[in-house]
Order: sequence, then C-alpha cells, then structure tokens
Amino acid sequence: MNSHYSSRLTSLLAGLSFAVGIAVLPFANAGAGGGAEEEVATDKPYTVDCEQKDENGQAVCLTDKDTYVGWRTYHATCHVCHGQDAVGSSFAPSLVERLRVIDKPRFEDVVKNGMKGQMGVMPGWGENPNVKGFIDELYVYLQARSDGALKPGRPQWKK
Amino acid sequence: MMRRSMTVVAVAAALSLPAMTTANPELMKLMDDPNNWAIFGGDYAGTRYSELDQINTGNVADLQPVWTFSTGVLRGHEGGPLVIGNTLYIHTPFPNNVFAIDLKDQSIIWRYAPQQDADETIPVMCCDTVNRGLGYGDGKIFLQQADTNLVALDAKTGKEIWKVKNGDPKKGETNTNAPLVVKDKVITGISGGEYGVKGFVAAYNIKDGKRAWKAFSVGPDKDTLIDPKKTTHLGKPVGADSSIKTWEGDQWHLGGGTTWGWYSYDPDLNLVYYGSGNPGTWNPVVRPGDNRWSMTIFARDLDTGMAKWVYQMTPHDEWDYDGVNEMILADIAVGGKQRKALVHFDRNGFGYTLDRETGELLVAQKYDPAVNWATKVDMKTGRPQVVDKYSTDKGGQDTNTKNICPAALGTKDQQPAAFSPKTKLFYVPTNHVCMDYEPFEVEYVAGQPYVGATLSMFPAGKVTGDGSTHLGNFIAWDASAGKIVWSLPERFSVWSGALATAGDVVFYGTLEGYLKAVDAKTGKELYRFKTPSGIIGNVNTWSYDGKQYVGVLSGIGGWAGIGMAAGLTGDTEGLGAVGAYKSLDKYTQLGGVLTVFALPD
Repeated sequence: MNSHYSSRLTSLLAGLSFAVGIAVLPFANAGAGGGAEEEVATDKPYTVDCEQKDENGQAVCLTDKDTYVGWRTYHATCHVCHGQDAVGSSFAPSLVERLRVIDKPRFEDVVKNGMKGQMGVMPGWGENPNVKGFIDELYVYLQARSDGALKPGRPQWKK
Repeated sequence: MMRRSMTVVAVAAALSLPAMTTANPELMKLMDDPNNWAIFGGDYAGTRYSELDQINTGNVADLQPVWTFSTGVLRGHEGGPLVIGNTLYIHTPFPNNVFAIDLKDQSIIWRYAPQQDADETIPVMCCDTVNRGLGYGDGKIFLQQADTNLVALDAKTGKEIWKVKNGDPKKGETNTNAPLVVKDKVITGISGGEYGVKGFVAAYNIKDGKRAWKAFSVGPDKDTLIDPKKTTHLGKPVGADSSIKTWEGDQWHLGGGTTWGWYSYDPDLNLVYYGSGNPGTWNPVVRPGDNRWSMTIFARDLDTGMAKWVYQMTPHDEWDYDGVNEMILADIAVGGKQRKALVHFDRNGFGYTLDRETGELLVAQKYDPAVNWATKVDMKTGRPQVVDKYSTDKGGQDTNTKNICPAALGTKDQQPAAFSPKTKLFYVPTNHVCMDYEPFEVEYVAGQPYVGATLSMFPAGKVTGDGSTHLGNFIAWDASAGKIVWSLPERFSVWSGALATAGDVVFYGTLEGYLKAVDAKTGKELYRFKTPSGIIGNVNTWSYDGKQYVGVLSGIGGWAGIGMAAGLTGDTEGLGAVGAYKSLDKYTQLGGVLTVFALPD
C-alpha cells in the first residue's frame, strides 16, 4: 500500500486490489451553483469527468479517490434516509439541495452530532467507525453532486 | 381457510375439550362476522378476503369517498383500520397514536397518545417510522409501539391496562409489526436486521403481559426452541445445533433473522406461521455458511413456541431478501390433491406453496419473470440454484455485482397479498425493480447500522431489455400451478396491501395515491380515486348499519419513501439506467389520511 495514502483510509482500502496512484484528470466542472461561487477559488476539491464510457460502452463518471470514497461511505449509511444519490426521501432532505446552503463546518457538525430537523431526527455518526473517518470525503462527494458535476449512479475511481 | 369452519372448531373445543384454552372464542366470532374487520389480515389465515358483496363488479364504478380522517401524523402509513361492531380503531406511524372512532358520526371516542423517546427510537428505524397496525382480543386493543413497548388498552376507554418492554432501542431494536392476538396470548416480533439485532418472536399473556415464551431465529436449540429430533426441514429432523452449525464461530450473535412481518395462525393445527429476515450484515463474504435460520418460514406451536417445521428459502443470503412476508393459509388443490396449503410471496421473487401441516414444499415458481438471481428452486433439496453472475458473494467484496433481479426490496416487500376462495387466485402487489449490489467490510457498533453494502436500484426493464420503465405490477397468481394469470403494470411499485371480496372486486392502492378496484377474474380496472397521498397501507372493508365500506390509509413513506420518493434516477444518455427521470414527488407529497368509500345511498 503506497504510503501516500493516509492511515485512516487503510482500513477502507484493505483487501482492495486497486493500483496505487491517482490519475490527474482534466478539470471538468459542469456545476452552475449559486452566486456564492464567484468568490470561491476556481479549483474544487473534486475532479469529475462524466464524458467517459466504461468497458461496455456505457456512460460513466470518472472521479478522484475522495469523491469515490465519499460515494461509498454515503451509500453504506446515509442513503438509508437521504436516498440514493443524495436526492432525499419522504423523511430526510435532499443533500443535493442542502449542500447549496450549508457550509463545511455546519455539515461536519451535523454529521458528527446529529440534529432534530423539520422532518425528523438524525442520529450523530461521530462514533461510527464506518463514517467518522470519512467525513471529508463525504463532503467532497456531496459537493460534486450538489454542484451538478457528478451525475447520479456509481462513479468510477480513475486511478 | 374458511372462517365458518373456525367457528365450528371453537365451539366444539369449548364443549368437548375443556382442558384446551380457548380464551377468546369471542375474537373468533368477531372475525367470522364479515361486518367486522377484527384482525389485520381479515382472518387468522391472512386471506385479506371479505364475504361482503354489496359492492360488486356491477356497481363499484359508482363508489365514492364518504368520509375521511386525518391521523395528525406525517410519515409512512402502513397497515389499516380494525372495525369491531360500531367502532373503528386506527393507529398512526410514530408516535403511534391510537384512535377509537364512532362509526355513527365519525367522532373520536377515545385517543391514546404514547410517550416515546424520539431521539432514542427514530434513529434506529431503518426504513421510516411505520407501524403495521393494532390487535384486538379479550376486550383489549393491543399496540406494539416503535420503542418495543407492547401495550394493552381497554377497548372501550383507551385506558392502559398493562405495558411490557419487548426489546431495547439502545441495541438497535425497535418494532414496526402488528401484534397477533390468539387464544390467551399476544404474539409479536422485533426489527433491527440492519443493526445486527438477533431476531425473535415472543408470546405474552393477554391477561397480564407476562412473557410466556421467546424464540430466537438464530442460536443454540434452547434459544431457537427447536427440537433436534422433532423439528423438521422438508420432512427431515433438523438435528442438533441446526442454526449454529451454519455460522462461523460467534458470528450468529449478530445473526439477524428479525421478525417484522405478518403472522398467521391455524387453529386446527395450533400453529403460528411467520418468516425471518436477513442474517445481519448485507456483506455475505464475512459470514460464510447457510446462516440458519434467517430467511426461513417457521411453524411454531402457539402454546409452547416449539418449532414444528422450518423451511429456509434463501440460504446464505447475498441480496437482503428478507423472508418476513405474509404466510397466507389456504385450502387449495395442488397436483390434483386437496391440500392445507401455505402460500408465501417472498422478497426473493419466488412464490412458494407448502403443506402447512408438514412443511412439504409443493410449488416454487417466479412470480415476476425478471427474477434472475436463481434459475429455479430444486424441489428435492428446496435450495435455489444460484446464478454465479448474480452472486454478490462470488463477485466478492468491493465488486459491484450488476443487474440482479429483484432488487433488495424484493419482488414484493411487506405489502400483503389477498386470496379469493371464489376465484382461487391470489392478488399480489409487486415490485419490478433490479439492482447493482456491492458488499464491503464494515465494523459493528451496538445500536449503529451494520449494513456493509451499497446498492443502486433501477427499473427491471433495463435488465430484461424490453424498454419498459414501470416499477411495479399488480398480478393474479395461481398458487397450485405457480403461474401468473394476469398482470397490470403500474408506474411505481405497488406498495399497498390488497383486498379481495365476494363481490368479485379486488382493491389495491398505488404510490401516486390511487385507490383502484379491479375485476377479480380479469383484472379490468373498474374504479379509481386519487387519495391525499401515496398509499402504502392496506385496503380493508367492513359494514356499518347495513352499508359496506372500504377504507385505506394514505401517507407516502416506508421503504418506498426512501427508494422512490425522490425517484429512481435514469438518464437516457447513460449511466446504465433506462428511461427518463422518475420522481414520485411529482405525484404526491407526505400525508396521513384514512379515506373511507361506499356506494351512493
């Protein structure tokens, strides 16, 4: 395992047979977002390319590792309430929409400590080993979804 | 199972077998009266059939809503009302309020509002805060609360008579099932298969709430109440440690097998029937073995809880095909021979017909042709023949196994089917959805989700390649032959419980919110009405003052609310999904209303 990876990811990646290294993708941000984007630096924490095709000729979104890890973390736990691809459910809001109005500190606080919202009760995940080490990656994935850069479905990590 | 014969049995028992407990011949009599809807399934057999025929194929087109009742709660509304005499009893999703309503003027006679700890309970309910309904017996209404408290209320006043804790939300245990009231006992189960909870069924005394017995789905024989010599699986004694032998080491401690579905009962055989859920983690790689007795049909003695027979439908589950769906007891001919049958539409896509006395497997056929994870069930061994391509275990951890049908929510989930002894057909609300499923390693923490797989769901049409985009079908099924007789495609999964009547009308509800009535013989649609919200409740029927009524709860939610409230997204340009973007929230929003229908005066 390449020492480039932080140890917190080791447990996630143990047993995986992915090759090491991250390919540098051409910058591709299709998101429009809101007016706040004008102040933000032009590089996003994610790199997403949805113009590619997989080995079966099906369209696929290639992403950096963090976005992929965030997708995986999200769909292990969060999707049960917040729905597939973060679009929300009848009792938990769409995170595609929420990420447009909350900032990272707020996001971290809610994921760690939970909250009582308008729709129901969200537990805190600060002690859950399957979530607590991956909150940054979750945020990257959800930003990519919220910006419209990452389409619904399983992304592919371009190594 | 004919209700008439059950009354005869109850009377005969009272006269000739004084030693046998018949603590509620009252309930048997109430169930036998078609003017009532005295138990969640219409009768102990769970047929969801009514002998009322005032509403029939000739006049159902004139049906109209006649009164409505808002439950005051938003969230998924599963289950349906009970009607006994002049009183209708209705429950709500969390916080599980109960109302007794006077049918004369729809005024509220009494209301029971439990105090539950939302912060402790709601976060460990995986699939919305649903409740599948009340039980009645011995002058009491029984409420199985989400926080696991089982409560007995005086049916006349709503006063609490006793309350017993059935589990512990701190361990991830909650309840969503309706309790079964039978003889001198109340039967209930437990939820939490996504939290590593060990499933069980428990029987409590009607009189005082003391626990009579408790039977786990996994573990040593003394916990599972299995007799190595007497309990059989497909006719053969299961032998010692039948559960533990099929797990590695101590893994059975997180072995799942939860029991959140429906229960039925045969008074002649004195057997309670139900199914168990997934074996804990969705990642099959980490729990080798058949994982008994998850995904199993149980037949247990009502008095002692001892298992008479078992049948495991999905050994070593790799797809979350919980076995908890209803067990409909019907006397039908199979292979030219009259049988005391048990018919079960499993999540795994197979419609099973068994002999309910012996547990003999008679029929196992796909009730959606799209089902592909197994080619068939070997009728000698009872084992499904798994297709390697769709085995998430063979695919392995961190591999996305694709295009498996059905999706984890199954060809049918808890939404119960109905049986008409007139047509001899079963009416089944189904899902037509497939999935990609990727297992991976997760750590167990008590009270936290213990899932270990991601899944993507999409219309079955993507896999069958027929270009269809619909997500459900309402079908008529011949359980003797194992064949679909007719099939009505629906835009969304059909998530309501069906109702069959002697008027030859079959009712069901759709996720857009339509209550629909169709001809029991042909499936032709005869009536529809858009209720205030998507329907995941069960359609029930009763009579009051000489008039027949049909009632159903609307209130989108449940697993349908998660999987589809926001739509199964698809993109004609790719990402593998067929069809245009679908969104259930184009058709419905949250709600919580009981709508009652009748013919014009």
